[in-house]
Parts: sequence; structure tokens; C-alpha cells
Amino acid sequence: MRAYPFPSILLALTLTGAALAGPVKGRISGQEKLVPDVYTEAAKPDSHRWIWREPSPTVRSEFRALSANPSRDICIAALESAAAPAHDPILIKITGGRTIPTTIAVAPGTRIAFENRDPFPHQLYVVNSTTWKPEIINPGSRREWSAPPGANRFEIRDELFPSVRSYVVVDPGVVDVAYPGHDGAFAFDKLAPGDYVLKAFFQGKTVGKAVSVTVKGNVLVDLKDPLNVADGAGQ
Amino acid sequence: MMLLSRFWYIVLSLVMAGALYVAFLAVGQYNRRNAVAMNEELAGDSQVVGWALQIDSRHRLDALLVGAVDKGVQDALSSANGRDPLPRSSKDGARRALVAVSDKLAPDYKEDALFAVDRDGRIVAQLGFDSAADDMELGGYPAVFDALHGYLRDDTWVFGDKMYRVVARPVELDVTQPPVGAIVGLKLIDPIYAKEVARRTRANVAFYANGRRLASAVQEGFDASIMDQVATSLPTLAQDKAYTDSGHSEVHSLSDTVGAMYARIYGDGWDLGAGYAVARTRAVVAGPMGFIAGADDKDKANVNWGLLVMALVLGAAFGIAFTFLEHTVPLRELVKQAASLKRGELDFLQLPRFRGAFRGAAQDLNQGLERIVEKGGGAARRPADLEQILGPANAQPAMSAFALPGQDGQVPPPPPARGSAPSAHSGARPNPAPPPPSSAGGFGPPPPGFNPGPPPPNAFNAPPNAFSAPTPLAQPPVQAPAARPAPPPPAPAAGAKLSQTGARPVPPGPPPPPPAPQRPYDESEDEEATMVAAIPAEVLAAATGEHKASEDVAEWLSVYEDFIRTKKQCGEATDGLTFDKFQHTLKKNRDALMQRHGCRRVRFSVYVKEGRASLKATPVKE
Repeated sequence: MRAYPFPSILLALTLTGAALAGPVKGRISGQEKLVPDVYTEAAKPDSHRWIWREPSPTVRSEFRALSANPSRDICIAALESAAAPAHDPILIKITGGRTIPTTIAVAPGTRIAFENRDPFPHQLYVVNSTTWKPEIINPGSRREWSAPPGANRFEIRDELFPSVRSYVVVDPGVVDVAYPGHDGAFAFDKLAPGDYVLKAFFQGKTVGKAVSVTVKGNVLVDLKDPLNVADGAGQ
Repeated sequence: MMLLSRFWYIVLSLVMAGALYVAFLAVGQYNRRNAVAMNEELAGDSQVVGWALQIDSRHRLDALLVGAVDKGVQDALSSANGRDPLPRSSKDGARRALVAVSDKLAPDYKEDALFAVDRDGRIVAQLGFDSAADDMELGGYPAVFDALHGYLRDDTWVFGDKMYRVVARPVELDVTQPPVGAIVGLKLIDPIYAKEVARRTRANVAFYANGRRLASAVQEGFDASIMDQVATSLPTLAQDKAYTDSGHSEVHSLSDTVGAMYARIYGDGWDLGAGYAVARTRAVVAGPMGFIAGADDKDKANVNWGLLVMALVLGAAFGIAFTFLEHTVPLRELVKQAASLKRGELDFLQLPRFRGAFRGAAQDLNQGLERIVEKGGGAARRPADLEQILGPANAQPAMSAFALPGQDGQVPPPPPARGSAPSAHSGARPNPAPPPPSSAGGFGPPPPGFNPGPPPPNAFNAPPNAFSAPTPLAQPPVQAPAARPAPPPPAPAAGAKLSQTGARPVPPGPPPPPPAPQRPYDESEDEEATMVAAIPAEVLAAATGEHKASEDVAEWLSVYEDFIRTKKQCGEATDGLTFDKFQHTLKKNRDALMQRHGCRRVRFSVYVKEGRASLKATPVKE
């Protein structure tokens, strides 16, 4: 394990809707129908993940539906037709039984640093990879991974925490990514003028229909129709 | 024969071998049953510990309700949602609320760490777990994820070398809105927790994760160091199909006497090799003596001591009794008779008072004494060598000197032997004639060619052993009558008078007592009666003479007294053996011998053969 060498780290539109101001903004819908597989599996009785699991009698049933956390699990990527250059290094935190975010789309050659923010070690690895095998990441330490050339999808897991399932989508056209808030709103504020396609990714896969958008200078592009991420989920 | 004591030794040996066999079988069965019992107890312990963890989670989950409905927690989480970074006021308010909640928890269910988590899973405040970073989250754990979606949930987390039992509940502010967050409680599985579980379950329990034992607690009397071995079987659990399928392993041996059963723990730890193990000691008996070493006072008190003492006493009593009867009594009799022999009260050992080897030894001693007397010039108490005296006689079937002849003048075959087989030494004799049956009744060995007359109507019928002939061993080995031709005995002349040899002074005794009225002799009346031959009338007439008769009567009276005394010494009954019968028998036999061998007189003497008094008839040719 070595220290992360980069002084500045880019994590696009981290977490909340506070950074929605920008040339493109929009919303997603249907996110309540997306459930990460890890929680679906953990909810099953034969998963042996719990002794007691019962609904709180004071929580209404419509609020008890498991659903993804858009700010962690749903990635909106802006892609252009031409091959995009590698992004600046991206920091992904490891904490809380998952990585933040759990899904990200990057251009080939982009370096990603996984930083352990927990007070105990993690041991990430890329599934079916012969090069990025399980390796201890001590508290406060980072482990770097570079996106290989070409379009691909990678799943990253943690040997010490079964709930950690992260996905990296490598696509040559990825220019930028954004994460919606609880209300589904998202925004891109650094897109250069040009034509883009907005895609939503969940668990490393495209969800919803892609939306084309054209950025002209600093003119705000406000998408009238939300991206329905529940449409065609799993593709 | 001393069979009883030997038989008793065999019985005791069989009993002892049987007891050992049973003991060894008992050892095997005891160990096998203990192994089965230990396995069942371990399965029970494992189940009980699982239930204890289940109940503990339930209680802690319910106890956490005070945090879920705490106003301070609700407000703090509500104010933190959607804010980045988290407001300080929310953090402080949440922490104060968690302190208050912790104080309200019952001591048995007080958490080691409490977290207030907003709807994104961010930690707004925590109590305990001070190592958490400022931006640490919990929302990715399935338990917290479920709690944020309105579920009560427990879990097991493994954080490095620590394992936590986790409970989480949703925190609600408005029933018309989703939960604003969750409150999470962590219980560290440490020796204190393990001790509490062990106390509740009365099991020896150890918790493990990541291939290491994290905590353990044992019951009093159980070697705690054995629990260090729990981790040794962890690498092999992956091959335990029962463990991978059902979560409960087969029994693994931690040592020769300790077994352990492993169980996977529910939660995230299920896939991380986390679980708990219960251990028990199996009582093993190495051998039959192990039952004694392992017995306690209660076991000893349950022993049926009465039965044991009775077996001991009976076993010893029978053994002592048998050896007393077969060893002590005859030895004492030998000592007693030896003392009598020394004092001159006895000339020979009384064989009937001995049994088995002692009788044989006494008989050998008697024969030795006779041999010593003979060497010293004394008269050996054995029959004379009639062949040497009278010369070779016609071949005669082996028979007693006083056996009953048949009507045709032939000697009937002697009765079968009773209690004695033909002597094995007979083959060593130089006499080519077949050895006489040892059991022939009569007054010693008959001379060759002896052919007594027919028996009288009221013959003194003796049992076969009465007046038995001496054994061949009693005869001097130098005798070789067959090798020395001897003139045939002269035929007695009719009416010839037998003169007394004068070897014994003839006492001027009274006239012979009138013959007692004869009656049919009952064989059972006197086993010692001799077998007599019928006296021919002409011989009887020739032999009668008043002077000679008085001499014979005097001599026979002496013989009679000697015979009675010897019989008593031999322990034989003398009832019914009157002098009248005795002299009548002697007279008939004397006459028969005189007629047969032409001798002038016949000398009778008493000797002991095989422990019984017998008579010898020795023809005198003078």
C-alpha cells in the first residue's frame, strides 16, 4: 500500500444536490424501484444475514420499500461521441459498508484511488481480475486502480465486507458524471459546449433511456423530462 | 486328588478373566457412550448459545426503542438530512441525545457504541467507538440500510480483529414521512460478553472471526487454555459440509478428551468465517483401572459393599476350605501318624486315613519301611515266595489264594478290580506268568497251581478287596520263580497229619470254642470278610486233631487279634467279624492249602494292603 500521490482529487458532483448549478440540470425518476442486489440478497431469510428483521410498526408500508440511494448508487454520465481524455484522478471513499459512490463511469486511463475512511482495514479486489487481487487497505490508506483501454465494466468487492459491491464503467466517451440527490435532481456544471448523451448507470449497468443534450456556452440546459431510471433497468 | 482346590483355582481364574473381559468391554462402551453423549451435549450447547444470541439481540433491539423515539435524536437527524457538511448543532444535539438514551438502557443491554445515522447513512453522532472518522458512514451495511427503510434488524459485523453484535432501528419524526435516520447499537464481543453468554448458557464458548479466536469464556473446572485450540480447526471448517450447509459443524477434537462444535454466526459475519464454538470435556477411561481412579466418593458410596464382602468371604472361604480339606487335613494326619510311628504306636501308616497323593506317599513310606525291615533282617510283612518254597507249580490263572474254586475244581475268575487298576509295575516283573488282578480277595497271592476245593455252603464270602493280595510292588524284585525249576509239590497223602513247625510256640490254649451257629453271610455286613474255599470232607477229616487244633486255635486267635487291631488302625469296621467266623475261614483255607501243596502247616499273618488289613497264608513244608 502506498500513499496517494495526487494533491488534488476530483470526485464529480459528490453526494448532494448542492452542486446543481451548472449548464445542464435534470432529474431522474423511478429510482425507488432500483434496489442494490446486495440488499435484496441480504434481506432473504436464507442469506443468514440476520436473526431479526421485521418492519417497524410505526413506519408506513410505502416507506418500507427498499430502494437505492441515488447519491451513492446512481451515476449519471455525460458522454460525447469522440473519445474523451482520461479524467483527473478520482477519489472513492471506502466507508459505511460500501464505497462512495458505488457506481462510477470513467474514461479509459482514468486513475481511481480507493481510500479507506474506516478505522479498520478493507481488502478490495476486482472480480475476475488477475492483476488487481485482494490487498489490504489500512485505515486512512489508499489503493489505486487505472481504467484499462476500451469499454468495459468492472466489479469491485471487499473480502472483509460482503456488502461492498462497487462498479466501474469504462467508456471512451465519458466526459463527466453527476449523482442525484434524494429528490432525484442532478446537474453538470463543467461541460464544455458540445453534444452529449446522458446515461444513468446503476450497479455498472445502464438504466433508463439515454438523453441527448447540446451545451452552448453558459446557457443552462434544463431537461424537462426526467430520466426514468426504472425504465429498462438492468440493460 | 486335590481336585476341589484346583477346580476352585480354575473357577477363580475364570471369574477373574470374566471380570476383566467385562471391564474391558465396559471401558469401550463407556468411552463410546461418553463420546456420543458429548456430541449430543455439544449440539445442545451450540443450540443454546445460538438461542442466547437470538434472545440477546431481541432484547437489545427492543431496548433501543428508547433511542428511536427520543426527541433529541429525531430532531438532530432531521436537521442533518440534506445538509453537507453536517451542521455542528446537529452533531452536538445528536450526541447529547445518545448519551441520554444510553443512560436509559438497562445495564444488561447497554451498548458499547451508539450511532445516530441520517437518511444517507452518515454518522451524525456516536457514543463510544471514538476511532470513527468524521466522515465515516454506516449506511452501506445491510442492517442500517434496512433500518433506514423502516426495518428492525440485527447483524454481526467484523471490524478488523473485533466483532460486534449490531441492532438498528429506524428513527421517525413524522409517520407521514420516511424515517429521518436510524439509531444503531453495537455490542463488542469481548471476554466480558463471552462470559455473560457462558453464564447464561452454562457452556464453554469461544467466538472467532477471520481465523482467530476473539473471545472465550469457560465454566468452572474447565481448562481455559484448551479454548486456545479452537482456532486450530478453523482452516478445516471449509471442508466440513455440515458447517457450510447448515452452519453447525460436526464435532472436532481439540484434544484427546475435548471436543468442540462450531457454528456460524448470523449477519455479515456469516460469510466472513465468524462464529462461535462450544467445547466440552469427554470423560475417558484409559483402562479398567481408570474406573477406580475416576471414581468419587459418591460412586464409592453406591458400591454394593455387602455383595462385594460376601463374594470376598465366600471366595476365600471356599478356597481355604478346599485347601484345608485337601492339604491341611491329610498333612496333619501324616504328621500325626508320623509321630505315632515315631513313638511306636504304629508300625505302618494307616493308608485309609489318607487320600490322593498323600495315600500314595504313605503307601510308599510303608513299603519303604518294610524294605528297611527286610534289609535289617527282620521279617518283612509280605507273603512268602511259595514258588521258592514249594517249587514251580502248574500254571494257574491269576487268583487269590483263597478265591472260591468252582464245582469242577477250577478256580473261578477273580472279581473285577475295585478301585485299583492292574499295577503298571507288573510288566517289570521277571515272572512270565500273567500278573494277578490286584483286587483279588484272599490272603495274598496264591501259589501257582493252587486249586482249592469247592466252597462250603456257608462260605465266608468276602468282598473283592477283603484279604486282598499284596501288590506286585510288595514282592521282592529278586524273586524269579519262573526261572528256577522247582519240583512239583508232592500230593498230600490221604489221612496224613499236619504237624506244627514249632516256629511259633503253641500256647496251651483252651479247646477251640464251639463253632458258632452259621448263618447266611450278608456281604454288606462285613466288607472285610475273606473269600474262602470249600473244605473237602476228607481233608477236614485228615486235618482234625485235638492237640493240633488247639495249637492252631491259639495261633489263629493271635492272628485274629492282630487282624482286628490292624483293621481298626486302618479305620475299617470290625463289626460282625467274630473269631468263630475268622477261624472257620482260616481252617478251611489252611486245609485247602495243605491238601494242595502237601505242606504240614500254614502260617497266617496280617499285613496292610492299600490301606486295608489283609491276611497272608504261607505254606510251611517242615
